[in-house]
Amino acid sequence: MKNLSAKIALAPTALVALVVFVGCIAWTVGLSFTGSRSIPEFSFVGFEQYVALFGSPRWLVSLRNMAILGIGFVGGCLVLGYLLAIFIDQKVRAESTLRTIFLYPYALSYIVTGFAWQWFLNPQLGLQKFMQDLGWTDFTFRLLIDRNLAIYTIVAAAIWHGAGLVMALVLAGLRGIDEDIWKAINIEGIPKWRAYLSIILPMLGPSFATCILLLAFGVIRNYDLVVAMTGGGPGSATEVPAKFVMDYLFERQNVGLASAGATILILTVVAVAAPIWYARHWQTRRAASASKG
Amino acid sequence: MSEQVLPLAASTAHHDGPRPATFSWERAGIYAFLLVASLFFLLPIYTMVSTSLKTMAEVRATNVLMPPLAPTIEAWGAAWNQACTGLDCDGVQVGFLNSLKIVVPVVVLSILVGALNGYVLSFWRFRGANLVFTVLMFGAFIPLQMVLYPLVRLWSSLGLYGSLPGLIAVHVIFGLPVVTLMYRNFYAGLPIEIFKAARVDGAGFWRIFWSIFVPMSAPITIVVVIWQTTGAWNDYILGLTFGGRENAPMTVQLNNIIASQTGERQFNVEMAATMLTAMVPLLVYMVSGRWFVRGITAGAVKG
Amino acid sequence: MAEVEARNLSIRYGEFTALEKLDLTVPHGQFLVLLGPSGCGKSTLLNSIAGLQPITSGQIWIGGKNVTWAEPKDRGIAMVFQSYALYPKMTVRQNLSFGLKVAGVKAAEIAQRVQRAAETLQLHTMLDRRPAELSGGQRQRVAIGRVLVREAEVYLYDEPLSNLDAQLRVELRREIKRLHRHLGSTSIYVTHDQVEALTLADMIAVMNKGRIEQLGSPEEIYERPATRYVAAFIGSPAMNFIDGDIAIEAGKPVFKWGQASIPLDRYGFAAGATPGKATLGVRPEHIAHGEHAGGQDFLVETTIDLLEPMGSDTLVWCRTKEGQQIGLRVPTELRPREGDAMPLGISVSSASLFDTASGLRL
Repeated sequence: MKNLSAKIALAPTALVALVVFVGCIAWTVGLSFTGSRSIPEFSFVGFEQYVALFGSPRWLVSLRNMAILGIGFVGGCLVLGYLLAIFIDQKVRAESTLRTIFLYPYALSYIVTGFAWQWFLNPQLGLQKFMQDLGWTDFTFRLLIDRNLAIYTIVAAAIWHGAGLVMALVLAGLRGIDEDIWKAINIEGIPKWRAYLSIILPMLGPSFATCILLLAFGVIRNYDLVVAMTGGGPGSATEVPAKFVMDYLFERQNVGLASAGATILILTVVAVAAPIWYARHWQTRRAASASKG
Repeated sequence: MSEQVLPLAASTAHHDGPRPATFSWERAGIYAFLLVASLFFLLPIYTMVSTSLKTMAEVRATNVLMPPLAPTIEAWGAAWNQACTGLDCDGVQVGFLNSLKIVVPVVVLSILVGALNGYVLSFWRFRGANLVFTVLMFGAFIPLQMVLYPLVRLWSSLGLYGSLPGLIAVHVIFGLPVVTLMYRNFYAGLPIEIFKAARVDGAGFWRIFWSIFVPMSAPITIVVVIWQTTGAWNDYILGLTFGGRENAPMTVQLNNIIASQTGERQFNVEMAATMLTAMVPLLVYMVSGRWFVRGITAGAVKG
Repeated sequence: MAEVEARNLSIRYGEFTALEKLDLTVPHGQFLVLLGPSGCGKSTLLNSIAGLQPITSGQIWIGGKNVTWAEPKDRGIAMVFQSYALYPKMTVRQNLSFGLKVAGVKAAEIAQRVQRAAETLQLHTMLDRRPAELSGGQRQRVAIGRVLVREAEVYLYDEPLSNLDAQLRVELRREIKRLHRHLGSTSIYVTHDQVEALTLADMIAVMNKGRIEQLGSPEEIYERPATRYVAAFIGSPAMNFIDGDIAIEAGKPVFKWGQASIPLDRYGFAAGATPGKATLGVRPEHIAHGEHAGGQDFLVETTIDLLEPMGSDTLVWCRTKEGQQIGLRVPTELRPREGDAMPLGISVSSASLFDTASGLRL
C-alpha cells in the first residue's frame, strides 16, 4: 500500500483524535439529552436538562459573569496590551526588562495568579491595610467581598495575567511593519497617536484577531482562576460556566445537567471562532483573487 | 532679496549636526506610563515575596507593601516540608515531585508524537490526513469540560483512572493539537526540495525523518519544551480530575493546602508555597527569554 | 526657489562612517540622481535630506533655509519609497488625502488636489480601491500621486522602481521624467541602476564609500569618467581596462603595452602627461572592427573567445596572444564565429586614461 509507513505513523493520533475529540464530544452531547445523575443512564428526556439549566439562577449568574469577563477581560487586555506595545516601541531604555515585567504573569498558572490577587486585595492584608496604615483610615477596598464587584477583581487579575500576551503578539506585529510606512507618516507630518489609530491599528488586524481568539477561549475555559481567587463566592457571585459544569459533574452528581452546560460552552466557542475564521478565509480568498486579476 | 531671507535664515543658520536633546513632555509621559504599568505588574508578586520573607508576627504588625524588616526564609522551609494538606504535613515538596514525574514524560512524549505528526502532515499528504489535522485543530479549541466526563469513564474502564500513566496520557493528548501544529508549521517552512532530494536519493519514510528532519528540529523543539513544560506544570484541571490523591500535582496540592487551612492563617507560609509553585515556570520564562515569546507566537497561529 | 544643499555633512554609526564631509548642491528645478552600489551611502544621504536620518555633523539647506533641525514635514519635501509605503487599509482616495486632512487643509481644496493628481496619473478608475487590489505599477503610481498632492518644492525618490518588473520599470521611468518636466521642481532620485540614472538625470552623483566620486551631466559621467571606479560602474558591458605605462618617446606621450606603443597625442590630458603606470579604458562600443579597424590610433590582433548574442547586437569577447581580454559590441548580422581572428582598432580620443595607483583620470 502506498505511504503505508506514513499512515501507520499517524494512526495513533488519528485514533485519539477520533475517540477523544469526536467520540467524547458526541457522548457529552448525548448525555445532555438524558436524565443521568451520578452515573450515565440512557433515559431520553429531550430538552429537559436545557430547560432546567436556563431555569437555574446559578447558571444565569455564570453566563452573566462570562459576558462581563468576555467584554472586560478581552477589551482590557487589548487596550492595555496595545498601549504597552506602543510605548515600548518608542525606542525606550531597558526595553527587554520592561517586556520581561509585562509578560511574566503569563508564565504563571491561574492558581498562582488567583492567590496573588486574593492576597493583594485582602482587606486585612493588602491594599486596604496599606492605605489605612498610611493614615487614610476611611479607605475601604472591599471589592473582593462585595457581591456586585467581586467579578471585576477577577477581570483585573485576568487582565494582569493576559495583557502581556497581547503586548508580545502586537509588538511582534509592530516590528514587522515596513519602515517606509513610518517614513511616509513622518514626512506627511501625521501625529503619532493618529498614525497608531488610523494607519497602524488596521494593519495589525491579524495580530489582534489571534489575540481575541486566544483570550476569548481563555474566558470560556476560565475555571482555575475563580477557584483560587473566590471559589465562586461570595455566595455564587463569581460563578462561571466552566466551574458550573465541573461542580455538577464531580460534586453535585448531575451529569445530565453538566453535559447540557458543556454543550452550551462548545456552542459559545463555535459562535466566537466562526466569524473570525470566516473573515480570515474570506480575506485570503479576496487577496488571492486580487493578485490573480 | 537676500536681505528679506536673512532674518529667518539667521535664526537657524547656526544649526549644525544632530538636533540637541531637550526635555520633552512626550518622553516623560512615555516613561511615566511605563513606570505605572510596571508597578501594576510587579506589585502582586512583590506582595507575595515580601510577605513570605516575614514572620507571622511581622505580617500582623505591618502590611503587605512594607518590605520585610528582618528577612527570613523560615516560611519557605515550612512551606517546602511542613505545610499541611488536611492531616498530611509533608509540605509542597510532595506536589513538586509529582509535578516533575508528570512533566518530564509529558514533554518527551509530546515531542516524539508531535514531531512525527508534523512530519507526516507536512510531507506525506494522503487522503484522510487533512481530516485528521482538521479534527486535531478543532481539539485545540474545545473546552476541556466538554470531554472530561466521558474520558473519566473511559479511563476507569481501561484501569488508567487515578494513575500516573493515565494522567500523563491525558496531558499528551490535550497537548497534541498545538504541538503537532508547531512542528507542522516548522516543517512546512523548510524548503520542500530537501524532502524531494532525500526521496530521489532513495531514503524511506523513517530514514528521512530520523536522519534529516529530526536533526533540523532543534529550534522548534526548544519552543515545544518551553510550551509544554509551563503548560503541564501550570495545569490544574487535569491533575485534579485524573491525578487522584496519589499523583496530585503541585498546583492541586497548593490549592488544597490553602483551602484546608484552619485557625489562624499562616499567610507567610501560604505565600512561600505559592512562590515555590510558581518557581519552575518563572525560571523557564526567565531563562528562555525570547524563545518563550516565540512559543506563544507559534502556538497562536492556530487556524 | 528650492535649491537643496548638503554642507560638510557627516554621518557615523559608531566606528562605521556612512557619509564623510560631503558637500552637494542641487540647483532649483534640477533632476539629480544619486547612483552607486548598495552601501555607498546614497540612501543615507537622501534620508538625511528628508530629515529621517539623524546626522553627526554638517547642515542641510532647502530653499535657502537651514533645515538641519527641522521636522521632515516642515522641510517642504515629498518622498516616494521603494516599497510604495501606501497605507494598506485605506483606499487610494484616502491614501492621497489623509496627510492633507491631518494637516488641516479644507475639504474642497483636498478634493481638488486629489482630482488633479488623479488626472495627471490616470488614477480615476482606482480611487476607491485598496492597495492590495492594485498591481505593483499601479501602487507606485498611487505613491507618486500621494507625493503630488503635497505640492512640495522638493521630490525625493528612494529606488522607486526597484520592486517592479523590467517592462513596468521602463514605463514608469518615462512617466517620472515627464512629470518632472511638467512640475519643474527639484528632484533627488536614488538608484543603483545606471540606465535609470542616465535616462532620468540632469545631473548624476556617483557615490562610493560615503563620498561623491563624480558629479556631472550623464554625458560627462559616461564620456569623461573622473575615476576608474566611475568608469567601471557606468556602461554595460563594462569598459575594457588595459594596464600599461605612459612614457615619453621622441617628445611625445605614448602608452606602452607589452611590445606595443600607442601614440597618445590625440588624447586630451587634463594636466600634461607624466611617465608612470597607467590604465587605458576603452568602452566596448568605441572599439572598431572589420574594415574600420585599420583607420584608428592602434590595431590589435585578437581571436574570438566567446559570443553572447543579445538580439540586435552580439557581445564578442576577444583575447590577445598575451591573454588580455577585450569585449565589444558587434551587430548580429555580421555573424562572428568563435575561434575567428578579430583585428580591433582602438582610438585614444574616445578612451580614458587613469593613474593606476590613484585611479584618477589623467
